[in-house]
Amino acid sequence: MLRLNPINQRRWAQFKANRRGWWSLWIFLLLFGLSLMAEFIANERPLLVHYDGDWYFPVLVTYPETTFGGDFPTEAEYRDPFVAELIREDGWMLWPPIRYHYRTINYASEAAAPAPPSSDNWLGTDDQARDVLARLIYGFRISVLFGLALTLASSVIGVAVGAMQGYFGGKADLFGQRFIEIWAGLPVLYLLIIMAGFVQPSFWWLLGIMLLFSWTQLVGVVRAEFLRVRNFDYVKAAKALGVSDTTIILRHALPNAMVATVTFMPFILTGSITTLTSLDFLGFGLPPGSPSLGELLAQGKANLQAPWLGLTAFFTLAIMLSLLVFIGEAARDAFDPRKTFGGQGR
Amino acid sequence: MSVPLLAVENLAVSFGRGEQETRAVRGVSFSLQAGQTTALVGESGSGKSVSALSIPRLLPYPLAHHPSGSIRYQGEELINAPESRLRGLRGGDIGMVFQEPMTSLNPLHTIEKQIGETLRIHQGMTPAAARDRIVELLELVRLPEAAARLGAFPHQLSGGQRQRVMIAMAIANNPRLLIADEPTTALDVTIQAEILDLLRDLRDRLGMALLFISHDLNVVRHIADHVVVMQQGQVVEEGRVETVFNEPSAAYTQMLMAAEPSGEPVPVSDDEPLLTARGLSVDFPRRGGLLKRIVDHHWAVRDVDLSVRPGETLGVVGESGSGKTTLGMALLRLQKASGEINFAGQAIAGMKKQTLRPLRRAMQVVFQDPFGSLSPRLSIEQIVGEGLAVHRIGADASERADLVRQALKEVGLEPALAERFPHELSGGQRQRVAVARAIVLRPQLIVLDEPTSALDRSVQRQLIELLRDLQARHRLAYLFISHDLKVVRAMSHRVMVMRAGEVVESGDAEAIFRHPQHPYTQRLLQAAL
Repeated sequence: MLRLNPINQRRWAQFKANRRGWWSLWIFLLLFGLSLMAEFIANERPLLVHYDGDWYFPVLVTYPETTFGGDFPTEAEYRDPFVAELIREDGWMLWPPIRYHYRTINYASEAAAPAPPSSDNWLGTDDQARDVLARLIYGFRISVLFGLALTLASSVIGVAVGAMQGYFGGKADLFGQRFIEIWAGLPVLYLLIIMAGFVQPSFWWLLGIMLLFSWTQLVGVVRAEFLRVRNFDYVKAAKALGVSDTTIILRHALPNAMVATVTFMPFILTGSITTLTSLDFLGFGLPPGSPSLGELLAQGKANLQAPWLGLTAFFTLAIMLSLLVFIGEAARDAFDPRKTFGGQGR
Repeated sequence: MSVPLLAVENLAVSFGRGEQETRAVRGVSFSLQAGQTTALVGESGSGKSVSALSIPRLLPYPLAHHPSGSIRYQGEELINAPESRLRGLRGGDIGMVFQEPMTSLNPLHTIEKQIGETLRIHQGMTPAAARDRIVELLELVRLPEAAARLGAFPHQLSGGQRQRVMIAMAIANNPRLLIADEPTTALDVTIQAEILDLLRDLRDRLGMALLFISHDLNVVRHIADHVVVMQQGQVVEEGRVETVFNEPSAAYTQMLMAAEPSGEPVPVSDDEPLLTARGLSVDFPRRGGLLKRIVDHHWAVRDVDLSVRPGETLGVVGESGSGKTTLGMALLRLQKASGEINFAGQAIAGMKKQTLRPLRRAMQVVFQDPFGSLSPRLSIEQIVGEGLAVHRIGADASERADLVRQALKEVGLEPALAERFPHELSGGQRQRVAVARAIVLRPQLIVLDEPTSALDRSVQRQLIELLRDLQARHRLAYLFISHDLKVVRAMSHRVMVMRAGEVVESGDAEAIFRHPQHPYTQRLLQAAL
């Protein structure tokens, strides 16, 4: 078990004291945990097949149709009534609760696509007859993962750059700040659109391109914190002890900057998710066919007669972003020295 | 005696409720007479400020509350008085002056606006009428060129001038009662004397009652008619100032009186100097013009020569801004400087960082603020042990831990404290930790930068004894920087008096204290109460 020092224990207690943030954290973790297991919740392959006395795990392993006595050596189409019948004759299948993958097209749907919610497609289908709920689960996962990766990477770069500028000051600070001012002045959206024209954006490409512009967010606060800490007596005392600059930065100065960083992170996360969604909405985001909340929103806009598309995307985004903001508020409370050390002093 | 202007009876103040309740003040009674000065004296945490702030109800309510007590102002009960009535009293009948003149004025407003605000609120004065009154007030508090200073912002004034402006604000509405909470603690001694003089004069002229809060017995003796000594939220003694000072009856008061720094430094042999500096200067260039060329220099330290022998203390005395701290930092090579510095036979002035690092072990520093000089996120063991790891002293972690505990024991702390964090220790304990961090490396020289200024007198005394003891035992050389002449006298073999970056007088400590030569030194000694 991680041992927290007394200050962090008090912060943790302060975080818990914000009931809304505390519950939001659990709900968010639960949703994120479920979405990480999306393959086991929404899939076009069964979880488990018992056929002819043998066990098969289609979720994890690809089996040719011939395994189950079919005609083709290609992968078995478990949703195909013919294949289903073959398996049922000599065994049984265990399906996940939602029998659609995000790319599964529901050919069996009786209504024209986009089809309204039914017992088969709980949130209806989109304009290509794909299950909305399945796409939602995968879309949520990709949004959060993208957001987390972007937040983490931009925090690491931002903290490192801010620390250098603040600690060493002088020319490093002067030129660094001017560069950031110019860099932050570039019109990000246009650049993203232009770059999306050069390369077919994938998850990692998008992450890289957005990272180019998002790392500057934390530099300011971290730099300010380091400028302040640099003149503290305990940093001077460490210098007088002969401690090296690297150690002073990591051991004495960084913990101070972490307060600002951790407080900021949930808000950077929401920002990252929003940017990805808006790019997807405009069609410059993830490659076509990927499950994404932005694409679902765009479909909702294109198909106003099918309100389940727009409403689903709207509520998912609203709930996800609200949860993150609530968590961020609780984190801010936790690191608020007036609350953490409340009752001391006058 | 007549009916008192203000009578405080059995006042109690608590912070928090239930299990977290801290009882800051427990049943305090005192009364104030018009035209008289009453002083609340005590060490930090004695509840003197909290008691005084209860009168205009300026505590953080509802966190703070009064389980019992009454505060009667001219017979009127204030403890349950409505907020609107108190607002009328604050700044009206009851004026307040706080300790920190730097932060108690709004940096974005001119002094005319700040003083004018209280006149407008309480007397409904028009700006034109207020302006005349402000000039009158500023002249009353003896601010030079009062009329020309109306448009000045706080940062354009010196500390003493700001405190005068604060006092002008407090007396703007002819208060009957002036509460002064450590009004001179943040000021230099020469200015302290002037402000005390001013307060006494104003009290007589306006016939106010003055409630004066201070930890400094000498200041209190100087200004008060009546003294209330507090300890841990209770009154331990009260009476006329002569009675209390000449025949203190309570043990605590006697202890406070005896806590004046005293004793003499341990004699020292005639050795080769450990540290010498010649022509040491620190300048901050002022740049101006389009090309930001250097147009002028501000000399924080100018042409200082000094030497310290092993086992010797060199006291550096001066008021704020005299460059004494900068000098200490320059000697440790923590501040860029020009001139020669020789330490233990090596010229360290131009030495490279890497070459200097092994020498750092032999020269250490203890800072003024025991709260700022310890990293709040590291345990005491990590703080004290950091230097050991840097200089590779001690074979492994367990040997280092032993060394840390030894050092803690040597400075009079329980070795068990090693696992605690700085915020769990008192100011005195923290300062001992800072000393332990320095001596664990077995240095030859320690720069002590106002190590006792933030501490209570009784704790100060213990720390001075500890430092003297360590010096005798390890033949440490000290560079002792302080504005407190008493402490310097108790510690130093030789003394250097600095003003505006230059040494005005230096020599044997006793000689300087007995027969100061330079007029500035004479003034300094005279102002010290």
